[in-house]
Amino acid sequence: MGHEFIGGEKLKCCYQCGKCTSGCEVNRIDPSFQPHRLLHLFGMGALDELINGDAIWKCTTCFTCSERCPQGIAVTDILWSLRAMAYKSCRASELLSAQKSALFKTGRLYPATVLDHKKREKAGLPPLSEDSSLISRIFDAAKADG
Amino acid sequence: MMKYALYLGCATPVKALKYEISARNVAKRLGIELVDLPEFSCCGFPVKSMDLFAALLMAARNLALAEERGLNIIGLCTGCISVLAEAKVQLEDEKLRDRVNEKLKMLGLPQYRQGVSVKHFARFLHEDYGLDVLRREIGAPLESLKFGIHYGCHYAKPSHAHDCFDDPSNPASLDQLIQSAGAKTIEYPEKNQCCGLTIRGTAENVSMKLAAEKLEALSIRGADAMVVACPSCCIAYENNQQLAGRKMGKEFNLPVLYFTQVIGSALGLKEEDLGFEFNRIEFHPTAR
Amino acid sequence: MSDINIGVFFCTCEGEIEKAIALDSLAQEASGRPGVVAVRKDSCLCSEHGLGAIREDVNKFGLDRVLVAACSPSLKTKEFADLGINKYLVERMNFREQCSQSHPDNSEDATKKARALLGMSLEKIRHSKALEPVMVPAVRTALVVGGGVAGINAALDLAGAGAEVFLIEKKPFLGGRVSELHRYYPRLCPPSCGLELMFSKLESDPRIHVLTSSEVEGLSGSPGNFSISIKTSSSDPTKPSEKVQVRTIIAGAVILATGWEPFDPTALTEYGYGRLEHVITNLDFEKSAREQKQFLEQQKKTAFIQCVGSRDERHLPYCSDVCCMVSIKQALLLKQANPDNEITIFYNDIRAPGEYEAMYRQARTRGIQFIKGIPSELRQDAQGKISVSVFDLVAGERTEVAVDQVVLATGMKASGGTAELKNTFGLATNKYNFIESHLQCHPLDSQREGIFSAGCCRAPMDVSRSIESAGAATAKALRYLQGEIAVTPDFPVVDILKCDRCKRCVEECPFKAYSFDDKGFPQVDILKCRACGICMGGCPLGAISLGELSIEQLSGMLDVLDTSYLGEDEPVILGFLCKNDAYRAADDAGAKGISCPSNLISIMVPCSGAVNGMIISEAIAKGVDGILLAGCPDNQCHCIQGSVLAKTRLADVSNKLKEMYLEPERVRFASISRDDPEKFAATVKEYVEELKQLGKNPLRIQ
Repeated sequence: MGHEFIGGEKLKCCYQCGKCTSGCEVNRIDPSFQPHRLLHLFGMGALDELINGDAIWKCTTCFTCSERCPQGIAVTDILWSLRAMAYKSCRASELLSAQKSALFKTGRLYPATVLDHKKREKAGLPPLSEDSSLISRIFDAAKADG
Repeated sequence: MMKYALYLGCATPVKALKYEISARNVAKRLGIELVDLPEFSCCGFPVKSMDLFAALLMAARNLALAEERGLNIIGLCTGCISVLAEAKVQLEDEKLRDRVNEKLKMLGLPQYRQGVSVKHFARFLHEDYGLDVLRREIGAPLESLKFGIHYGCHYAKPSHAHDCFDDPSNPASLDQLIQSAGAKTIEYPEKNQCCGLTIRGTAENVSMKLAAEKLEALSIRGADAMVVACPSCCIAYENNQQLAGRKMGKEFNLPVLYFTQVIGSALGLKEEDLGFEFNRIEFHPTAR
Repeated sequence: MSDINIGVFFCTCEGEIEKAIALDSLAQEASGRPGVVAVRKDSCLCSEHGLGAIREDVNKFGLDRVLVAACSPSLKTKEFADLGINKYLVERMNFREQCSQSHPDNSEDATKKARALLGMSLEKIRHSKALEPVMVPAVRTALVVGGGVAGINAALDLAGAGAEVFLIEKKPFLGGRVSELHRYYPRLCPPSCGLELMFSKLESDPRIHVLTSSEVEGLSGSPGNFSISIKTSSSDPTKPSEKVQVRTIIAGAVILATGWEPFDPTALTEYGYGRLEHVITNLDFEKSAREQKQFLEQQKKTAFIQCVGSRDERHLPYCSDVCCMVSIKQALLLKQANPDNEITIFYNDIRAPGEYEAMYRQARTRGIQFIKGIPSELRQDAQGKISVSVFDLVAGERTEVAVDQVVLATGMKASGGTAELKNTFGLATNKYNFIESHLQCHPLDSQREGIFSAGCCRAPMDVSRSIESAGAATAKALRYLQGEIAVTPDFPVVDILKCDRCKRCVEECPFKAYSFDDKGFPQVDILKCRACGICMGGCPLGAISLGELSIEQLSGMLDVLDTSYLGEDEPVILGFLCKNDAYRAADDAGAKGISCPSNLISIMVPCSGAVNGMIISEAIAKGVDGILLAGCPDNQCHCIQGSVLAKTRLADVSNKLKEMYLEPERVRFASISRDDPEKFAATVKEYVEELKQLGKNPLRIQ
């Protein structure tokens, strides 16, 4: 089951109505970001441009496009798939590298500093745990054959 | 006694203490027992941009841990909840579920057998706890206050993951929740807009402008505060309020509260039990 | 047996057939067979002189049976039906397409196969019976259900052809949905004009009885003689229970014209229908245009959004056909009423078929703006206007307009009336609940004989197509309105003595032509039957035979088939080819010179579902090496489920073979489409090779 690529089954049904781009908040502010165009390129196999470009990292994953697509195309998921492909080709954004680093080191997206722990203690909140191997173990398990 | 596993996620316990404090105290006040599972880990949202299967595994891990304890999940971050709920839907596929369970076994984790429900705390209050019951508990209705609700993108979307419980194009459940606390809510055209936080690192201009637009929209409509339901959205609107303001050449001064802080106030909880000291822009609901 | 006089006629087809088949030698063999009193060879049997010669021989020799060895039986049917003998006593042998043309390389083999065919046909023809069309009395009355534009026109057409017509309508008035419209396209004329004309024609025709506030309660009987009960309620809404009348009418044919329903766009909450003021549907537009003079004239900005709910896999996955033209019409009306009206149409594709293209061009030249790009949502701005923000796909940039009103171009759904009648009439609808049978071949029939459909209950369509479809349905219905119906005698006959009332025929008939008599035995309504033979194929006791092909005949043919006709080492395949697809493909292969092994002898069957498992088992038991059932691809079976049933039956036979320690590969099914002769030839070639590997059928007697 090609879990690396979700949403692809319906991708070919895209008839370029433009509803996704019309409703995209990012496009409203940055007209160069056009989801319908990304889908079109993907459908045509122009993966290089997509994976090497900046466009796919501008999606806020707000899901408006996926909700309203008349062909039921999971546009947001396709964006994620493209990002995962870029990540595999070592074309990840800097932010992503930083996030990965945090997750692998601490198991948390926002590592807790000593100050953070103290604040929690003062507020009477339960302590936070960290796990420095969990995420890498999960990634390994995900890759393992079977 | 309703007992649920509390899913905190990564942001809330580090970046949004006022949310965690107010949520726990509201739950306590309403007789909802929130159980901490220290084994909970990141839901997998950031990993979706790296490896989809690994992300699914991360989500499934949390679902399996809750299921083993026989507890349904209540969460505070809409992003986390949407990822966990979406994973639940994906895992309805038997082949995929078998594959995931194999990996869970490899990691020494319990198997996932589809016996867990996943809901955001606000949805829980609206659907399961019930507005009528809540209204009866409200001792100090916030009658003179007017709030602008920011739902955020993952609160009701993707709708199939959240059982279509609220209309993403015209959501009402949070408004109703706040209204049951006696307050008014504002209808404004920018209501469905995204906070933009997720692209803060990759498209900063867009991100700031998105945040600024909503702050502006609510400010000119005289909102006493913005109400949010997600720590990321709060960062976008509260922590980054001044930066966003500079973007638009304005100065914003709009308090940003979590719905738990508003409900908590109406329930008569003290400000210090609702994390008010962490409010960056001061706000005292009961002092009106 | 010997008191039947058989004449055997060989056509050389101007030498074409004789090239590959030694006709003289076969003719000689034929004359030695019991019962054969006349044998003739001719260069062109289908010519006037050839046919004349046969007719002469029929007379001269007092022939009771005629065997014609010539081209495919699917050709020259008219010629060989007129030989001075009942046409069911004439048997055609396919010596050309599936013999001489298919096996040109080895004329010995072609002759051998022809010899085998001759033997089988001689046997078959002994059991043939002279059949005459059955005349069933029928009434000259028709029922039309639905008083919209399609129903009204069907009623007028039927009466015009001499039938008495009952036109019933659920509502208290006629006119259907078109009476709600302001204007028609392309002429922008008012529907009232055409409707008034139709109403006056209805009124003045004494043959037409209009019953409003009336609904069908139940239907029984069969084509030519349907018995329909109709309930008429009071048309006075203040006295609903008064005057509820139930009457029964007898009708020969029924035309359903139950129309459509508009799609409700409330479900697309992003457009705010029902929530935002001044967001309306195309039907709302018509209503407002009709009822308020100012609606068109008052200057305003209007936006149209196309494909709302249609071409949408979450709502109506199909195109609703008319919405593009309706929006163009409405835009033109706005411009016509006030040239200062500003209109933008947001579209996905503009579908303006045929001459409607001119209307599209006119709309553009009149300054109606067309933007390709579907808006994602509608918002009300501070001034109360609707703001539409859309990405203009052609310009490649975003554009925003603030308009006074938005018209959502919503499509057509199947009506509730159609859904109700589906059960009453036992109709099949497609997955969108529109009435359908076999779309390509019989677009106007429902799956029940004598019941037809017209207008939008079949599919979204505009007024002119609705009216045309009413005419077409009328033409089909006329067969049942002539006072009597001639039924072709190819329908099945049930041998009650063999029947054990297992009910399978009743259940499997795709046309619901079977019912039970008062003793519980199955009986066929010959008017509903389409002679597909699925009942014959399914009967576990072989109790059912078709008029033109009986179990007895098939059994007899198997008896005389020489399974070594090609020699000891060559496998023999018996092919049951369906007449609609596979048989024609086999003919086509021959006609196109695609060579095919001569190991396959074919028997034409009406449907692959008509082949009985007992016959297949018998064939194997008699030493046939392989059986091929070839039928239409599943979703194209002309008999709805024949191919599917054939495969199921083969699976049963396969299991039986395994129990007998025979190879299950000796029976198989192939989907052969009529236009795929290459596939037919390849299938046979492959099968022959496989059978050679498997070896001879161990039951084959040396």
